[in-house]
Amino acid sequence: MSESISNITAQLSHIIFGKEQQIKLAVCSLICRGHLLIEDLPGMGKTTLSHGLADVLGLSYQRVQFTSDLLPADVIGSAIFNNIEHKFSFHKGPIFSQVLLADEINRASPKTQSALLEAMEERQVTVDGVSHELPEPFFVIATQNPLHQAGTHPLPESQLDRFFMRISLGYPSEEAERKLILGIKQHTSVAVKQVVNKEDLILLQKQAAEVKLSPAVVNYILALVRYTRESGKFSDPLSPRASIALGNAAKAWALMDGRNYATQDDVQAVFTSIAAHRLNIPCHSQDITISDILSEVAIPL
Amino acid sequence: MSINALLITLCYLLLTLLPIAKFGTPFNTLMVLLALWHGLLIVKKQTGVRNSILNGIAIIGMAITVVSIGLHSTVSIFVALLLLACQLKVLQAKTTSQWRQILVLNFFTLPCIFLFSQSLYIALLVMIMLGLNLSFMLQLQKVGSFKAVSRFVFSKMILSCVLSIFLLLFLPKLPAFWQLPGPQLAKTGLSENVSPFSIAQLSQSDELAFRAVFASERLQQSQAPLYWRAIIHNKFDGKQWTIANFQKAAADLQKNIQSEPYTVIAEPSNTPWLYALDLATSPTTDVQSNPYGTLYRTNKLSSTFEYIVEPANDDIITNISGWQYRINTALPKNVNPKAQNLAKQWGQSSNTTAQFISLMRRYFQDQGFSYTLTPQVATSEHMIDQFLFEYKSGFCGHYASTAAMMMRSAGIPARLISGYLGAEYNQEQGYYSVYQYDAHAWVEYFVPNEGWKRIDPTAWVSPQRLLGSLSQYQPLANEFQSNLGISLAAWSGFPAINWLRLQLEQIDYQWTRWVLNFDQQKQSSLLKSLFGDNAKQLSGIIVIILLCIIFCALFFYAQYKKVIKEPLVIRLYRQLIALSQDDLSHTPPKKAIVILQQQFAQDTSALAQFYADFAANRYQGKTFGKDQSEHAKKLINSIKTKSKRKI
Repeated sequence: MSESISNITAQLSHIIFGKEQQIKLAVCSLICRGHLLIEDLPGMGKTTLSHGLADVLGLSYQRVQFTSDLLPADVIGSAIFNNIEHKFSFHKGPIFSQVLLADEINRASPKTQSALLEAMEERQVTVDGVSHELPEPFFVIATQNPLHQAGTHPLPESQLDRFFMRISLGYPSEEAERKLILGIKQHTSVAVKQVVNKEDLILLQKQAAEVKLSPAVVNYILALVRYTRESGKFSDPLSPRASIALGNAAKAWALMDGRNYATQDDVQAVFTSIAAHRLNIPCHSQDITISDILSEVAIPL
Repeated sequence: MSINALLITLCYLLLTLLPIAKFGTPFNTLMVLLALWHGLLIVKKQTGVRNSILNGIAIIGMAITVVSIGLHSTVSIFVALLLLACQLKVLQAKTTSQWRQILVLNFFTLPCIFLFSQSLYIALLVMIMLGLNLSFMLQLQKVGSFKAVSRFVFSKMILSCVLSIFLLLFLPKLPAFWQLPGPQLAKTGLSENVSPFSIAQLSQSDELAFRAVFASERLQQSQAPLYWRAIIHNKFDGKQWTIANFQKAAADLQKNIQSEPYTVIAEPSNTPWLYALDLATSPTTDVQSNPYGTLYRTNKLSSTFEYIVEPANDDIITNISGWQYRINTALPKNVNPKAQNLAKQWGQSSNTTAQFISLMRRYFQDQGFSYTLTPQVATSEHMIDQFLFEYKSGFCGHYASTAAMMMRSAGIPARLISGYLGAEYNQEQGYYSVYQYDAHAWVEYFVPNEGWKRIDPTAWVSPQRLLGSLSQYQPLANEFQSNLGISLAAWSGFPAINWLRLQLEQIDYQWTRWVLNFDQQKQSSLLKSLFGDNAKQLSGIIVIILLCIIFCALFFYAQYKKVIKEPLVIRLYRQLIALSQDDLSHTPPKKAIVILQQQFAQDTSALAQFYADFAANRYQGKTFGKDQSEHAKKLINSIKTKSKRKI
């Protein structure tokens, strides 16, 4: 099992240099069937990573560039009158793919954002009273510019909560950047081979669900969540959905590490990407805030 | 809370109406009215009276308090004002924080009654009230139902009683840091001024005056009347007998080695004078004897007071100086001319003092004088003339002051003594109780070369009075009982009630003896009998060490209980991370082990092994067996010894 995972991460490392942790987190999110939000400045490789993820899993993917004039129908699809049959037929939008790349999601109007996020949670789309199942697996990988940039509509907290993880790539190391300059081609996803198929992914998801979550680890998750609620330092404390996500992510992380049991280390490893966006902590300060939380909460043994 | 509020009000009311504090009828009425008003409010389900109304009542109440109690008794006034203020606060209270204030204040207010009485019953009453108060406090925190809460509180109070008995016995007693002036307590009792002729009804009280404990059987069985001397009045102004200032001068009297000392436990009184048979000295600190052989205490206290009396040699004062003679024969001029003339006649016709006394005695006996507790009040300026020739009935004060005045008229030095006559003997415990109704007055006169002698002119009129306590004096039984009012002593004719009275009396005796008067001396003698010399220091140290041990034991027991819940592997893990220089309690185990591996490089593999065992147990539910734990212990020891070597 860990073989297929290491294959995935190895493949992705070909296109994103020196970001193993972020790649692992992204894969972890997919194993947990969670949607991923990648937040970073333009030109940091957000789109490359999301392309790579879709390719390496061998999933059908569509990309939608979100703009301020994008309408919900542009994402979901719309009923179009068929002149020949004299009736309306549903024209599926780009959302009907296994991986949807929602590029610069915070440039779209809130209306469009909501339409997408609803689909994310329900995993189905309802148009004109008819429900349309979305394909399985279904991931949304959204990218987002930092909110201080012009022309952005911040996602509301309720919708941020639907993203399983938020990761931020950050600047590459000097060595990695040198490689980029020297022209090793990385903008094409051709370099990425499909290493797992749909069945492998489903197997991975099943295995992740079977990872043992010991009471000590559950207690640790509870302690962390309770801390965000009771310390009074956070205006938007973690929801039960976040606690569930923490447990699942810790399990997936343990699986990726080749273990069938999760530890508190796993919780700590995924905590930043699970919790930071839910606590409304901006990317640039998340490391300090999260490490504060981790150093405040004692480890239950 | 409403019912509880009413109970608090009832506590205040009870404290007000208890007959020990004597706040006076107007104040009592005010408190009763306030309590009724409170009850009415509760029935109407209204809470919180407006402040303006309460302020008005407070001002009126203060006036009533001052009128009711008077300004002479500061302590009573302040206790009354405190009670009134608390009652008004109860009426005002609406919010939880207000109630909390009241309940906290009650811990001060309710025990205030101890200023007036520290008897066993009051102590029990205050205990119960404090228990109720604590229960309300807990209920205010919404801990549970009132029944459950009060059961909890009272069980804890019983436990704390045990602890306080222990502390009382063994914790070294320190002198009080500061003392309150006692309230004006004794409604009855001896006074430094005696003016019998202006008293219409001798108010009798069955309150205890003091108790005396004799060691030897001889004194206990003595049939002679017990004259307990207390106050010597040597100044007479025609109306009342007073004491001279110089009486409170300490004198060293010779102790009579042949007589045995005895112990007296005096109840609080308004005067510093203490009680003893005949001339006495005392080894007790704070007790002095004056040249006349009476005892007084140097500090005035409102609590009961125990002292030892050592009979003094009475042959030392066989002569008096000129000024003493003048003082003891001084009489106001032109007062009681008829009595003075009569005395002078007797003086001329008698050669010795004894003859004079027998003349006087014959006069009293022949002229039909009688003893009464309800004499007629003197209307004339010449009171003794009126008594001698008109009324011819009175109580001890009348006879004693008349006799003393007559002797002074004839040039015989004489003085009025007030004290107590008789005592009630308790067979089982072997002590005498003297009550306020045993108060008596008699005369001491001086015979050159022989000293002061005692005569009791009352005994000429009613010799039965000498036989014992007034309670056993049959001819006056009706008068005595009606003067007593409602009290158990008034019913001592019924055997059952008398038995009950004596039993209660005994409990009170033990309480006074062993709780209230358990002073430094008694404690040190108890400790000495237990631990020998150096007992005081030793017991202090033992108590402190014992308390430390108890608290440590409790603390560690609680800790142990917490620790014992943790499996061995966690305890070992904790020991292990404690070896690191850093605080690893906030680091996940795997990271912590990595840090430890960096710090103790030699044990890297053993640490890895421990982590594997730890993870297997904690995360996978596998057993952490003996082998693994020994391995871990070895690891801990090896790290310990290595880090020691480094230092």
